[in-house]
Amino acid sequence: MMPEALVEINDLVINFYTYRGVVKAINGVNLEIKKGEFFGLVGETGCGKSVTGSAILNLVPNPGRIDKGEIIFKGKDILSMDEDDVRERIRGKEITMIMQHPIAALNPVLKNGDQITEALSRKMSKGAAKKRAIELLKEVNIPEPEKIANQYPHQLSGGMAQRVMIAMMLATEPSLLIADEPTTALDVSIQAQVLSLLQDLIKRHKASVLLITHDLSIVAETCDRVGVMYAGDIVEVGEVDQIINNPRHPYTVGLMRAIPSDSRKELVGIKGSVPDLVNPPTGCRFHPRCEYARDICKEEKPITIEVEGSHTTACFLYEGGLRG
Amino acid sequence: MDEIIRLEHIKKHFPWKKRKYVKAIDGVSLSINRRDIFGLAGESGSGKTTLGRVILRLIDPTAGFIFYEGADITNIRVEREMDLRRRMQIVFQDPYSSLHPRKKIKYIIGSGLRTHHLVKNKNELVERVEEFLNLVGMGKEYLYRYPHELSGGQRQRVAIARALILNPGFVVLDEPTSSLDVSVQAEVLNLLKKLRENLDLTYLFITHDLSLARLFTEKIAIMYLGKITEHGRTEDIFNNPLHPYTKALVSVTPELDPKRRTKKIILKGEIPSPIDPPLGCGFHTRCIEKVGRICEEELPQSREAEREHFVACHLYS
Repeated sequence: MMPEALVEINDLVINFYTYRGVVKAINGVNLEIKKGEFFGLVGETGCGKSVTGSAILNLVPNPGRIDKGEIIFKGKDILSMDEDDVRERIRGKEITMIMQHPIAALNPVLKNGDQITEALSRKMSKGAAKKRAIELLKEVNIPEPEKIANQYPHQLSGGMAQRVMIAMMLATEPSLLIADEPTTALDVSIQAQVLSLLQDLIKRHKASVLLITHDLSIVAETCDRVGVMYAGDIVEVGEVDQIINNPRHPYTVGLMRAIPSDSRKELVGIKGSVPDLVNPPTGCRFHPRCEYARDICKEEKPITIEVEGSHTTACFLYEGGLRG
Repeated sequence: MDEIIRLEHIKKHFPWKKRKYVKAIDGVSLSINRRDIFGLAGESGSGKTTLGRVILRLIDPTAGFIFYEGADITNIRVEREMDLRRRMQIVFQDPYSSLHPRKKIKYIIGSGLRTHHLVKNKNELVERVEEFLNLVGMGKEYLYRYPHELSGGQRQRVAIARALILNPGFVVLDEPTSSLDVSVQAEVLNLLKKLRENLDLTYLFITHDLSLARLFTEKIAIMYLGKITEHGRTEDIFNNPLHPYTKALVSVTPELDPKRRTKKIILKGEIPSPIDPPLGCGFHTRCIEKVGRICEEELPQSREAEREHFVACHLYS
């Protein structure tokens, strides 16, 4: 049985209106996150993965604007909801977010415990909230939670701060946790701690995670499904095994060859660089760097097609079963 | 053995308040051979960057000796320092802050030539800069551009050209690709490898990314809390890690290929403060293979556990 969708992003278009011109950051993204899954969104700098994440909370930073599309969460379109409603019921409640720099994301003048009780204070008494905060800190494997709850964020190391952040985000029992590069600022041994903690908690709390990262190896190890983004487009979506063992889109193939792995002797880069999205390439945005590019790639935007089960890709190579 | 760098018992203690010291490097001995790509890997705060800078004599060590081509350079005289600077170069981590924002690429790459009086006139300078731009895969159209007009990968190529134009023998690469995207990183690493062959270079490659170190280096030293825990040939270290820290580090490095994945050893806690490092073995507070009291009391000495494979751990003594 297929689990049902928790979030459905349909034809999302986001533009940034800068003095240089209109940056066409998100170019019609379709995406589905299912209940209880760990979904990884990967891509290089500037591909639009973080903007997509913030769009789910309707928090696209200025001068960005959502020009088109809908984000259906539990049957309702977040983008057409009343702003008060979003703040009251969705943001920080049903959908929460953890960021790359936990120490910057925590309030520097609030004690760690109070950061957590703040979200709980409406639901329960002060004493109960405090107790719950300690429980949550214990749940994220913080040693001496009572002591840490009484300290300030600047007294924490990066790994500890990220745990406090996770405890805070779990306090409201969210159904979706957006994690934007949660371990990029951490060391590998701490990264492993945080990722395995995140996996455990998600199973226990039956939530879904949208993990936004540039590191395909992390996704390969932790996620159930992956979406690969390039220059504002989702180029490929599938189960982790499908993407890793049998990548279809030329960009995904290129990305895989550029990542160090035990089973590889040499790295191959992708020629050229990421396009300027004020004047993005016509047709498929990857065509200037693609070795399989044909005339049609320059003219038309490829539509997303199924190549195998739930494995989809947007590339002209696979239309009409040309290859594979 | 053709040795280019040798370190003997290097220490670097930075003064902290109230007569305390941050022991960034605490007794490192090491030898690097000519034409090696020598990796220095460790987590943040392990002292790898500080060690790179001490070798270049950008900062002075608190104790110990540095030898370059057999000569002691720890207390080198000012007259000879200029020549040494030419022969040892560095490529920094962040190409956005290591290039002068108000100078053109020609000036940035060529200024070392002028400082060391290696060219006679302007034409020769432009010629040499052009030659090295070509060498790093960039055309002469970049000569009169500013750093902000270049992408991250191109900036790092400029930084590499600037380091190599002085014809150094030894180059420290301090996380040269950690601010670049993976597709660009691959090209820069391949370029560095090619240049090593063509120009007879020795690299000290500092990195926190073990999967990168495995691919790029020939020998490697793993650092923890200012000390080297294990060093040897990269192949041996990764195929048969001996130190419990190395074992854990290798196991948690994310691996793309599911068939190559091993069971993760997740370390408890975090790297202790280098101000009051634990007594005995610095790793004993997190170690899962502790032998006993000896780990808390006695500093393990580096021993050759296998051929050319050194480890500092009481498990092997």
